[in-house]
Amino acid sequence: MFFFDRMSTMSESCFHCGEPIPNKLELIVEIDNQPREMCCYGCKAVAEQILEFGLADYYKHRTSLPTKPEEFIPEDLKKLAIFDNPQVQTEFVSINDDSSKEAKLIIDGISCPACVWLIESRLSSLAGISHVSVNYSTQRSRICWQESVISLSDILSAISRLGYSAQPYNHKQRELIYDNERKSQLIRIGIAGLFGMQVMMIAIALYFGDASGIEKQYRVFFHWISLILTLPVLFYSGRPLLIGAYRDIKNRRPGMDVPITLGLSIAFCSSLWSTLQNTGHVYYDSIVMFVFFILGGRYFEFMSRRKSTAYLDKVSSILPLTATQVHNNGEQEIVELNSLSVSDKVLVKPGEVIPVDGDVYEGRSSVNESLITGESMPVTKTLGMHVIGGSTNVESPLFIKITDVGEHTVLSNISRIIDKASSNKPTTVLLANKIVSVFIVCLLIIAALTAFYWYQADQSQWLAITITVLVVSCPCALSLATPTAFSSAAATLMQYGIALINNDALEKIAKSDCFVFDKTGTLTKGELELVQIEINDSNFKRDDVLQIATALESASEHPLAKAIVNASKNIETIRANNIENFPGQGISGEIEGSWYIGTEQFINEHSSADAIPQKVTAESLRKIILANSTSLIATLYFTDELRENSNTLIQYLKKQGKKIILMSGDHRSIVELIADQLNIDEHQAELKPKDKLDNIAKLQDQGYQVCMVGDGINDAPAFAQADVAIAMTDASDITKLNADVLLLNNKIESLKTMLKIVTKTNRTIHMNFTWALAYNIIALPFAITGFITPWMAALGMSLSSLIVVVNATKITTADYS
Amino acid sequence: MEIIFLLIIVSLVFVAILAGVLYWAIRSGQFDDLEGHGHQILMDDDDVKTDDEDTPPS
Repeated sequence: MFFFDRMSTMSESCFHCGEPIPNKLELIVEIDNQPREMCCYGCKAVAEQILEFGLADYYKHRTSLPTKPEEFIPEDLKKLAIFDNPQVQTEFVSINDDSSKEAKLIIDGISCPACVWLIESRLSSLAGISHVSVNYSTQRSRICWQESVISLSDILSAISRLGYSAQPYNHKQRELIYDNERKSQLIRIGIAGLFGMQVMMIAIALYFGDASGIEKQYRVFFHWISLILTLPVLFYSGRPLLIGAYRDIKNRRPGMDVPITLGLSIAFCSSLWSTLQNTGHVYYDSIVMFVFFILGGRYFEFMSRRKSTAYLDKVSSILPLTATQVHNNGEQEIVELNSLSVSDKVLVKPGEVIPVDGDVYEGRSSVNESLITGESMPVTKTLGMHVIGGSTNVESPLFIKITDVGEHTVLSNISRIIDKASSNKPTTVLLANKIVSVFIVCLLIIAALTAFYWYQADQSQWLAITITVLVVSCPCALSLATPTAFSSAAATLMQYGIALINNDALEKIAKSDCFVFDKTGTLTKGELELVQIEINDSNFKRDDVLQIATALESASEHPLAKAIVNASKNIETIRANNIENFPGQGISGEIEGSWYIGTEQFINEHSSADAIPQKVTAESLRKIILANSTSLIATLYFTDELRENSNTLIQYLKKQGKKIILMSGDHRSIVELIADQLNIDEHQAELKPKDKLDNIAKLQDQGYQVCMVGDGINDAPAFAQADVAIAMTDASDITKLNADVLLLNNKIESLKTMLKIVTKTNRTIHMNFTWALAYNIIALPFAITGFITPWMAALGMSLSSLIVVVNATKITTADYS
Repeated sequence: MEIIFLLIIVSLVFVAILAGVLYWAIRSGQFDDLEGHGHQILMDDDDVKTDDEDTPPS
């Protein structure tokens, strides 16, 4: 209601999407007897659709504004027709028993629950649709329809007319496996909980019976009922534990499930014996509790791991199934994505996901690459620029010539790298696993000794105490401590556009005390910047010089030309005639007389001006000279521009007490200048790649852990030598790199974020490990001496695991800005 | 107290039924979307025209 009221008072913004209304545009739709202004024909069409089907309630119930819909073009409908093709449908459609078809759709643009209602209401009003449900949390929808009555393209077009875009997606994937796994885990927990409650209830009766006397017939009955209720908990819910233990024993690698299962079997067998023989104590309550808590802990672990692989799911489901191919005769055709090959041309309309890697050959737009780089601001793409499949076209149509498809695209490379990285276990985890194995063997020995001792000392208690020892000291928390933290960290890093390729890097980065930076493209942008203009003729002012220089250079693609154009953005432009380009030397042109701009030699050759200024600040600063036909006007000096946040990063590292070294192949004075600007004390210039390698090796000999940061392509030998290599990349060359970490967003400040995440992760691992170890060591004596009962042990063990998992998920939610 | 034999057997039957219902509920996706449906019930009213729809902001 709040939004509705607020919007009715704001006539200057669109009633449908909230965007400002362009001047002189009067698009009125009457909603609930009120004239409402729309900002574009797209919004108007959507609003009218909503009214036509009596769904105006949407405007009352929505709690956030929808995204601005694309103007609806009937042409787009044709595109949807490909989804009716039976061959295409084999990818994502399944056929139900009643011969209706079923498909899952990804729906884009769902911003609040009212959207769900809108889509569901609209679709269920269509004839031939037997089922429709939209999942608000996952933005996925499941629809069933009768092909004889309605076609899939009609359904999709109905959705797009409401201002959402829907795409079928292939759900024979990871996601499906996860979904099944999650459901069966939930059922196991549910069964353990339900039956466990009954067992506990009866156990309370038995406890009272022990205290105040109970008739034998009731006790026998209770025992048998508990036994019946425990069976499904142990053998259905606890099945994964039993199977795990069996596998561990078969492989002779004692894991967590071994002591758990041992505890469970001892408890169960002795209880079974007591029940059959009608004497002694039963432990059914401990069994059900234990199974319930263990499963609960594992479910939380599973869900947190699920979150960390969410990126891969996103990657695998983001690419569309179809693309608009542009044939050489200019004809457009909707084709399956798989049928495209390199150097085909495709059209990507605004709002669409770019399906392939390629170069823009026509059009200009901005593109959202957040999936790859974590950068939420769209990036401008113009003629000749490279676009990455999986990014979204934002503004206007782009025509793209394909450079890579399928397996070879950046997106599949990234997902392959991450997939590989997440399957290779870091050494810390391997170490932890080893510790756990040793721990379990020790635990089994301790349990045996305890049993032996208590069997002699107090026959009535030996069983309960042995079970308690096995349960309480089960090193679940210990074995969860590192892997959960690692997977959370990798997921968090990916959110910030940092890809962890080598899992060991996390620990090594934290240990690094020496950071070696490359200069060009790392600390600097790798682009030139105009830093100084030396004027030799007092008749000209700085702005005049820039104006003339810009006019001459405006047509040039040279980095120096770009730097000049960038520097004179706020200056009125003039035109030069007869521009002539002498590549590698300079440019001449006419602006009320002849002008020359270029190297000293070029000026000497073309102009009669010969008074070359001697006052050169740093010989190596790149410079060009501007002259007219008779005299020298000005000298322009350039330098490689620093990245925006290089300075903050260096200061941050310094504050952390890290040693910072700048190693560059560039000229000494330039390196000095940059080092000076950034306050870097130690710098080495004019290095060949081999020298960098040697220098890093020297540092390592001095005992430093060296972390090398560079663009990775020119520094390959140094990268191989350094303990950790971090590559700044614009994501297009990732396959060529041999780095441990990739900063996919090409931003130096990511390094700072990464260091913070790494520090946090290592602290978490440390904390988890200490806590888990402390828990086990403290709990064990209590169990051995018989101070705790089996069910308390089950609770303690599960809580300790839960704390570890929760602690690890904090890595994801912490603030790293 | 003999009634307890019967009552506990009855409770066993109920637990079995509950387990069946739980199994069905999870498998049929009742727990898939814990957010959306809560909002959905608020939108199910069919009377499109209500009187208070244009009351000024409160």
